[in-house]
Amino acid sequence: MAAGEDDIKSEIIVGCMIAASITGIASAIGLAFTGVSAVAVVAEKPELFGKTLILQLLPMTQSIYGLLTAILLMMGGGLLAGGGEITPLMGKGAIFIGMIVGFTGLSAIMQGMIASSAIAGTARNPGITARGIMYAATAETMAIFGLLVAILLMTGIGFL
Amino acid sequence: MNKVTIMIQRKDSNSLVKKLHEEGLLEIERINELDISEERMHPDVEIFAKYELRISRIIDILKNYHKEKRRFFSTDFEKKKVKSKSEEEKIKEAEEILSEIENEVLTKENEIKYLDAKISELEEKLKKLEYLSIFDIDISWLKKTKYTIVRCGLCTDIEALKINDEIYFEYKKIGKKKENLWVAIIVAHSSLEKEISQIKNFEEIHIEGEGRVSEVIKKVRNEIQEKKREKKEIEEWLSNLYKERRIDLLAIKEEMQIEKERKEIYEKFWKTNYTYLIEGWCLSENAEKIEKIVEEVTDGNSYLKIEKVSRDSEKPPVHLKNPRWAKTFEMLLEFFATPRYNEINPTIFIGISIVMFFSLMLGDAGYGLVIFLFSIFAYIKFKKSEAIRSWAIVGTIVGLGNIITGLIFNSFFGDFISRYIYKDTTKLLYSANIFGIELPIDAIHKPILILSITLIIGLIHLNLGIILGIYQNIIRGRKNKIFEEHISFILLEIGAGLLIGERILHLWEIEGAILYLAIIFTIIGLIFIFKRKGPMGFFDITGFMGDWLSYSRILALGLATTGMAMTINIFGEIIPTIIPFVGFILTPIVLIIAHFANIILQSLGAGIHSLRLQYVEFFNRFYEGGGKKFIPFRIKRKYTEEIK
Repeated sequence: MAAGEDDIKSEIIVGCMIAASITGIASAIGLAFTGVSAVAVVAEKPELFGKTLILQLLPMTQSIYGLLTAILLMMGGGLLAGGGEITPLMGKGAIFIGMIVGFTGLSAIMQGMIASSAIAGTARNPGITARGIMYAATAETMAIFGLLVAILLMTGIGFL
Repeated sequence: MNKVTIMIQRKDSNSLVKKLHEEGLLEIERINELDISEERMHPDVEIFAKYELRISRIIDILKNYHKEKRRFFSTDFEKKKVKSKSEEEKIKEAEEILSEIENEVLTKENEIKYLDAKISELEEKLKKLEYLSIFDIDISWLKKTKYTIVRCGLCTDIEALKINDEIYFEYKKIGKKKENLWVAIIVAHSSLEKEISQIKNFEEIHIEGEGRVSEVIKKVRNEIQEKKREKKEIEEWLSNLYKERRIDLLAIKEEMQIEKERKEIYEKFWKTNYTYLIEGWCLSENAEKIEKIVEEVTDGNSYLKIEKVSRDSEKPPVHLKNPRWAKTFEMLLEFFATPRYNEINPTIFIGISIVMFFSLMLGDAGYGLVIFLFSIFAYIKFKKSEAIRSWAIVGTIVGLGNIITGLIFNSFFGDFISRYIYKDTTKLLYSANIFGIELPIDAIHKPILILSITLIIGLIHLNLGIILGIYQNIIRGRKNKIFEEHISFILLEIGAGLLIGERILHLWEIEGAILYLAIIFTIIGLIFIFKRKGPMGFFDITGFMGDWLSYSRILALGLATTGMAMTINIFGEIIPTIIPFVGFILTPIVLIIAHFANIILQSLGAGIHSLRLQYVEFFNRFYEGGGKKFIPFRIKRKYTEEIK
């Protein structure tokens, strides 16, 4: 039984790995898009640092969703302190939950592209920052829905 | 809003414009439909513009040399009390202040420019002397005499100097390791001048004067110091002058701006040989005041027409009237668009729902407490700044909202209390039973319950939008559209909701009259939607479903905050096991920094997504925007305060 439990736990670790790593890579790519634009803008207009920083940080949220999913999986799967009984379904489920959050988290790349344009727009007209943030936020909706499905599944399977 | 038409005699124009400018009740507009000639800009505009320019130049120069401590929030504006003066008196005052300091400031600025030029010239000389200092010769030797010629310079190829045995040279390498750069000194008979001038890769250093190089260097250095000291003295003088006269200069500049604005407004008037025609807009409650002003100023020799504009017109500018607490949210509405004149002002609804959504999305009592305390602090500390004060009010409301939602959903810095104080993560913050509801709700373990709550809130929000849409169509007189655009959705929501709840989700059972009513409502709803849009009506229904489900983001973001807070707490707990001795000191530091970062990041997310729910899901039901904001012709004072 102990060996079986270890198998399930390794599957949960795979789930954590998928959730955290895919969203992490996606966020890093998104942040690179926005970072490059932000540095270029701030070089000429240092007073826009605050505004460009907010836009630059937007694609980071997806990696937070990935991290959160991983932590919840670890907690529910008994890999951190606490956790209840684990079932074979939780192992397989963890992998798919990780994939849902990971793949929807790829939206960070597209969000980075939009936010990068918004940074360029802010350089020309600082008044449009808020609108730029709104445009960029639309791309995050997919990641939010992914996280939502993941949370509901975690509840259904018994992680939460 | 009222439309105002005033016809006055030209002689009264100055005093009427002055009075209107002071009172700030009327937005003056240029109307392009009349068949009379347009007035050009008042000739006095140029006079005031010139004074403004001269004063601005002096302020800019002085400001340049005045190093002020940069404050993060500069809210203490010093204001100068000024008496009401005539144009001539203001010009006289400007002239006086300019005659006192203008010439002196410009002269001092030129002196600084001269000193700057002199310093860089001396520094250039010093650089050359430093090359020469290797040989420590007398500078006066560097010239052509009857028999000899002595030259010094920089050389990049020593071989190039060996052109003639009779030319004697000495050199020293000054370039870095692999760089070929030497300082060379050439001595030859004066007849060899031509050969020397043909030497390649040799750049002569010209220095005039006499004395040994080391002494000259010392002298030049002293001279540079002296010039810098002189410059600093002048800069200090200018800086002190700015400190002393800053408010006088800014005040008189503002007075000139006000006068200029007063003269510029003539451009919007229409003229005949003896009269001016002024057209504009005023708030209904100010109509009488305007009537009284015109009557008083012109002594009754004028024509005035004030007519109320009908509610369904789109032309007039828009003035938003909101309670004090909701004023801050006007900005969030205007980010999207100013409402049209015949449109509802949704600021209050935005205010209430943003506070509610933000509180649910951040949803942590501890984070709420931090926001609340910071806002109270900002309110007390920076109450002079209108912007900070109004945002502090919003922060206080939002903070309180978060404390409430956090207590309802069992989150105080995540699971900080149960993890660190109760030492049992399964234990809830507190236990209470209010009207039969067990509190707190363990959000992280009961997401389905929270999801249901968010979807109910979403449904209420969407239907509020529909009701506002109905109201809007009524005031616009488009009653025939109400059924097709709005009531069809309400019928569909009730009918299809009941049927889906029974047949698909098995939440309840319906039978008899209610069942038939549900079927009838669904069919009528569908008929009207498809009648209006044709087959595309299908996407209207899926769109509505999408908008509704979009509210589920409230749950996801709320749990993300709590989950991240919990993660931070877990991390804090394991630090002492990872780092043996100093770990327990690091724990509180890490907790404070990480929770603070989480507050900022999650607040940003909650703010953005609260706004998104307004702009996309809510406004979709009724709001168009595209109106013009009411900007009355009013004096704006920042540095002055008029006393009677």
